[in-house]
Amino acid sequence: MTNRILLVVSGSPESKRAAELVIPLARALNSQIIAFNVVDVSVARRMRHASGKNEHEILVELEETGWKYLYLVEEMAKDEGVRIVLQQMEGFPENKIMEAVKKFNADIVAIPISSTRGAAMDVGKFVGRAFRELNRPILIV
Amino acid sequence: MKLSDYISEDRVILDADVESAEDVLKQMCSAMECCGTVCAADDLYRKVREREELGSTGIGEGVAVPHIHTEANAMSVAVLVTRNPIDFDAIDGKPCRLFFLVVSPDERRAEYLQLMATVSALIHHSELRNRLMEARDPGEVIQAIREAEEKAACSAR
Repeated sequence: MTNRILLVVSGSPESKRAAELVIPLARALNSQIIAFNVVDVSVARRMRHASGKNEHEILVELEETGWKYLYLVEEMAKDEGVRIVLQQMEGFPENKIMEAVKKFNADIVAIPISSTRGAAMDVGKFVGRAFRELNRPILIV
Repeated sequence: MKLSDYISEDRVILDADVESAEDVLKQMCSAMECCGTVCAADDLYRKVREREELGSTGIGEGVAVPHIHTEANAMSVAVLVTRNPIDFDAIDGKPCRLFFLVVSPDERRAEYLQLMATVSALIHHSELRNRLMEARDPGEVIQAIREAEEKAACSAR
C-alpha cells in the first residue's frame, strides 16, 4: 500500500510540472502528498557574491519562494481532493531529502529534474544514493 | 507584501483558553465575521475544516497557518495564541500555540499565495514566535510583526 508520496518542490517552475504528474498518481493510489522544499544554504552562499546581497537576505528570499511554490502545489492538490501537507527545511538538499524520506516514512519519492535556483542538485548522484540507502521507488519527473 | 497590512487588533486573540483544534478555528472564524471579512463564521469554519481534512496546516515549530480562499470581502489575517499547546496534527508532531488564519477573496489567488508565503517565512524566526507567544495585548503582536518586517527590510538594504 502506498500511503505517502514525498514530492520534492524545488522552488522553481518545474515544481508545478512535477505536481501535475504526481497529483493524479496520489489520487489513484489514495496517497497523501508531502510537499517538501529545501532552502539550499549553499545557494545563498554562492549567490551573495554574484548578487551583492547578504546571505540572510538571500535565505529570506529563498524561504519565501519555497513557501510560494509549496502553497501553489497545495492549491493544485486541493483542487483534485488529494490530501497534502507541507514542509520546508533549511540545509543541503540531498541530505535533507534523504532525512525527510525516512522521517515521514514516504513510500515513493518524486523529484523534479531541475533543482533549486542557481545550484542544480546533482539528481543523478542523489538517485544513486537513494537507491543504495532507501528501499523505495524514486520518480524523476 | 507586509503581513502587518492584513492584521488589525480586532483579529488578534491572546491567551485563548481552548481545548481543541476545532475551538481554535471557531474562535478565529468568529473574529473574521466580527470584523466583516466574511458574512458567516459558520460557513467559513466549515470550509476551513474541510481544508484541514486534506492535511494539517500545522507547519511545525508550534505554528499553524490555516487558510482558505472563499467569498470574502477582503484579504485578512487573524492571529490566535493559545494558553496551552493544542494538538493540531502538525507535520513535526509537536502541538501548536500560534495560529494564523489567512482568508482571501477567491479572485485574489496570486496575492493569497504570496501572503501565505510571507507569513510562513516570517514566522520561521524563533525570535518573532517567542515575542508573539509572550505578547500581553494585540497592539504588541502587531508591533512585533512590524519590527520583524522592518528588520527583514533593513537586512535587504
